[in-house]
This record gives sequence, C-alpha cells and structure tokens, in this order.
Amino acid sequence: MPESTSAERNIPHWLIQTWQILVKDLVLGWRTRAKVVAMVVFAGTMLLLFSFAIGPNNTLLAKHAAGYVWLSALLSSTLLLSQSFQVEGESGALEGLLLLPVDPRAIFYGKALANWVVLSLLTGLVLVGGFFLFSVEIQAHPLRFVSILLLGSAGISAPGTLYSALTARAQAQQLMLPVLLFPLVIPCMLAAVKATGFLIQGDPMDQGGSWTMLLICFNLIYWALGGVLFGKVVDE
Amino acid sequence: MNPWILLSVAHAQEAENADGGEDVVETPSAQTEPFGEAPSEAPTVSSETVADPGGIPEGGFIGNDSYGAIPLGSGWGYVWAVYIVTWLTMLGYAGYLALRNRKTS
Amino acid sequence: MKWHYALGALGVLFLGTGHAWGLFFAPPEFMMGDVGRILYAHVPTAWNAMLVYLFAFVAAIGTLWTSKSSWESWLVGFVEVGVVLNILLCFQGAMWAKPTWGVYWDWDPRLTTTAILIALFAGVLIQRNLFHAPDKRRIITGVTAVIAFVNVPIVYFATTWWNSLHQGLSSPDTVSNPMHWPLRVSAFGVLFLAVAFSAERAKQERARLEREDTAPTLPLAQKQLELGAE
Repeated sequence: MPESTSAERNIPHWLIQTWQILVKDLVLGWRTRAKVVAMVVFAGTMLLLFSFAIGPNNTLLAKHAAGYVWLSALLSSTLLLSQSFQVEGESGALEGLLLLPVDPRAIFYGKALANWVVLSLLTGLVLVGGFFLFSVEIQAHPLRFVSILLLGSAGISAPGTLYSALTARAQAQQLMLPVLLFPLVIPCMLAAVKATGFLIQGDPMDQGGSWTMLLICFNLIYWALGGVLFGKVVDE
Repeated sequence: MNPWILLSVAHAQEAENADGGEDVVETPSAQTEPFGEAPSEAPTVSSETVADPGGIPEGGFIGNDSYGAIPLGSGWGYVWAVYIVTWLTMLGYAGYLALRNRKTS
Repeated sequence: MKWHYALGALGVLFLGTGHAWGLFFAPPEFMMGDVGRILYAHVPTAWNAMLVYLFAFVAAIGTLWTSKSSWESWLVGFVEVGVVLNILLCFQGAMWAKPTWGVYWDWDPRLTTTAILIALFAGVLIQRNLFHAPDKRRIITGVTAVIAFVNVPIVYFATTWWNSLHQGLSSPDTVSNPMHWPLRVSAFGVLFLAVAFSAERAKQERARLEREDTAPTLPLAQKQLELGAE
C-alpha cells in the first residue's frame, strides 16, 4: 500500500485508506475483466429471456422495460458481489488487510465503492441494451436516467457488500447471498423501477421525485449501517 | 341464515345505491406493476364510497372499505379454517419444541 | 426456571377465552358479517408478530453489544417464533381476504410487507444454520436480524406508495365497544404464548450453545451427567 504524501495529511486517515482500497479493487477488477464481461453477457441473456417469456410484443415489452432492466441488473449483481470477498479469501488477503492498521470502515467503503462503480457500468450497459431491445423511446433527459442508475446501483452495492462479507465463508455462498440480499433490496428495486418507469413513460403526476427520494433514503441508511456493522462482521 | 348477514348486505346495497354509482372513481389498475399484474378481479372500491353519508356504522371495524363484496352465507368456512389453523400452529410449534427437548435430553 | 410454562398455560387460557368470545358471543361484524370474526384471530397475530420481531431486534442489539450467549439464544427464540407467527398471519390474512376482497392475495402494502418479512427473517435462521464457528455465527445472526428489522419500515413505506387496498390499522380505538375485549384477551393470549415459546426455544438454544462450548473438553460421561441434572 503506497505511503500517503504530506499533502494528504489533513485528510482523515480512513478516507485515504478507502481510496486506496477502492483503487486496489478496481485494478483487480480490470485485471480479471473476463469476469465482468461474463456478467454483462449474463445480464444481456436475462434481457433476451424476458422478451422470450413475454412474447414478441413491443408495446408490452417497452411498458415493462424498467422492471426487466433492473431485474437483470440485480440478478447479475450477485455474480459481482459474491466475487467481492471471495478473491480476498483465496489467499488469506482479507486477514492480511485486517492485520494492517486499516480501519474496517475503510475496507467496507472502499469495496462498496468499487462494487458501485462496476455495478453502475453494468447497469448502464443493461439499461442501454434493454431500451434498444425493447424499443423504448426516451423522452426524459439522459442525465436523469444516469442519476437513477447511480442511486439504484448504490442501493444494491452497499448491503450487497456487507452481505458478501458475511457470507464469504459460508459453504453455500452462491445460494445464501441472493436469499439474504434480494428481500432486503426490494424497496430499492421498487423505487428504481418506478423512477425509471416514470422517466420512460412520462410522469404527469410528478411521482418520480418521491421515488428518487426513497432511493436516496435507502442509500443513506444502508451506506451508514454498512459502515457501522462491517467492523463487527470482519472482527472475529 | 343469520339475519345479521342479510342486514349488513342490505345496508351495503343501500349505501351503494345512495351513492348513485356516478362518483365512484375506479382506482386505476392500469398502473403497471413490473413484478406482476395486479389481480384484475380484485374489487377496487374508491375512497368516496368509504366516506359516503352511510359512513362507518356502529359495530364496524373503522376503515373497512370492502363491503358489498361479501358472498352470502360463505363466511363460516373461512372463519373455522382460520381458528383451526391458528390452534394447530400453536399446538404444532409446542410439539416441535417438545420433540427437540426429547431429542437433546 | 419454569415460569414460562405457567405463562404458556395462561396464554392458552387467554387465547381460548378470547377466541371463544369472538366466535360465539361477540356480535357479527356489521359490514363483514361472521367473516369479521376472523379478525379476533388475525389482528392479535399481526400485533404480536410485529412485537416479537421488535423483541428480536432488541435481542440482536444485545447480542452484538455483549457477545453473550443468553442474548443470542433469546434472539434465536424470538426470530423463530416471529417467523411462525408471520406465516400463520399470512394464512389468516388470505382466509380473510378471499371472502372480503374476492382474492386470496393482493399486492397491498401490508400483505407485501409481511411476505417480505418472512423471507428476511427466515433468511436469518437459514444463514445461522450454515455456520459452525460460534463467534462468526453469533455475529451473523445478530447483523442479519438487525438489518432485517431496520428494513421493515422501509419496505412498508415503499409498498404503501406502490399500491394500497388494505383496511386501516385496527387498534382498540378504531374498533367498536363489544369487540374490544375478545381482541384484547386474544392478543394477550398470543403474546403470552409467543413469549413462552420463545423462552423455551431460547432455553434449548442456550443448552445447545453450552454443550458446544464444553463438548470437546469434557469426557462423554460427565457431559451426559451434566445434561441429566439440568
């Protein structure tokens, strides 16, 4: 881990550590980009499957596009999240990290931010692909889609990172992570789907704003709670 | 037949007739649910119906907005199902605990 | 420590009285007729399921705070009883919804929330069974229970915005006079039973944790002796 320069002295220590872990995880993600590609392919396949389940009805598909897009993002996110701590466990890297004077909060926020970045990219690709496949015509400003996309991905990645750490050493992680995570992120999914849907279909009653607020609240709660509880989780 | 049921249904009908049915606003079921369609046969009763002059009668659970949907005479089967299953659950859980005790001691 | 047996007996007495009262003596509900009698079983279950989850949350905080096995065993007891009550609640709700709404299930906020609650808290128990290291297992049970409980208001809030059909929350204030008492008596019956069940389950869990703790170091005969004396 690189030594912090004197210019960084006035920044809190754990913030620098968070940044370092974020960079480490992103570098790691880049070196194993085949996995990320696999997730994108998986998400794309999900989109195709949804259209096969519904039938070749463009109006119906366009109407429900928001739901399909977020569902395939959520399903493929478990692939990413279950990897998040598995790579640390493989060579005892997490123990090594914990032996260093690193604040556990820094580990959580670093990894959650890294997951957020990758997940946002993934969701963005899925969103574009889904709109293309389901012939959705976008009326709202693209930046509004980006904000919902960022909020929704953040809402998956904070509790997802926490549960990934929890389940990292379970015998059945691949099974347990979705079992715990999916019911938890229902409010986040609901809000993201609704907000995206209103962006697609128009929002005469201006309800999209309140769903966005719900997304923001969900994120505040779980990003805070994750930082508080993560110390307990890794501290044995 | 329990006269109370007839009475309550008659009241419900009366309330609906008094309403004229014009200002009953259907809750739009066109609202799309990405996780599945809302059951279309679900009776949707407007808030107007609830607050109508008929009001909440004495002896009722306040806030109930579902009258008029009771099929005549079909109540007791559901009632018994609920009570029997409730007691079976309590018994069943007690039995499970007793079984666990026996297994461990 | 047998106080919970007495409490359980009291619970049976209260629940029996309340249910008999609701079934045979209370007047039929004005708008729903006899179907309204379901509420004497349904509403107490609903109150107590939520109350038991609240107890579980407190126990989870205690577990994480103190790392004591007594808190942990109460937590297990409350979560398990909560899940049982919650499943029962969904069944009762379905039985009530069919004659009044015409469907067994509707995507109403309270129904949806209770269904999600089963998934959340059952996840706590399932997860717990997959870990064998005592410390790790304790922390995981505590953390997942805390998160599950924190999630309840958010889920409820979200689903309320999503759709609404359920009737207003019943409390003794919104229910007319002759219905107070069977409701209250049944509610205390369910509460006593739930606490008694949780206590028994907690006792078993505590015994199990102690056994686990001591098993490797104690010779087998002594271990059995100790259990027999319990």
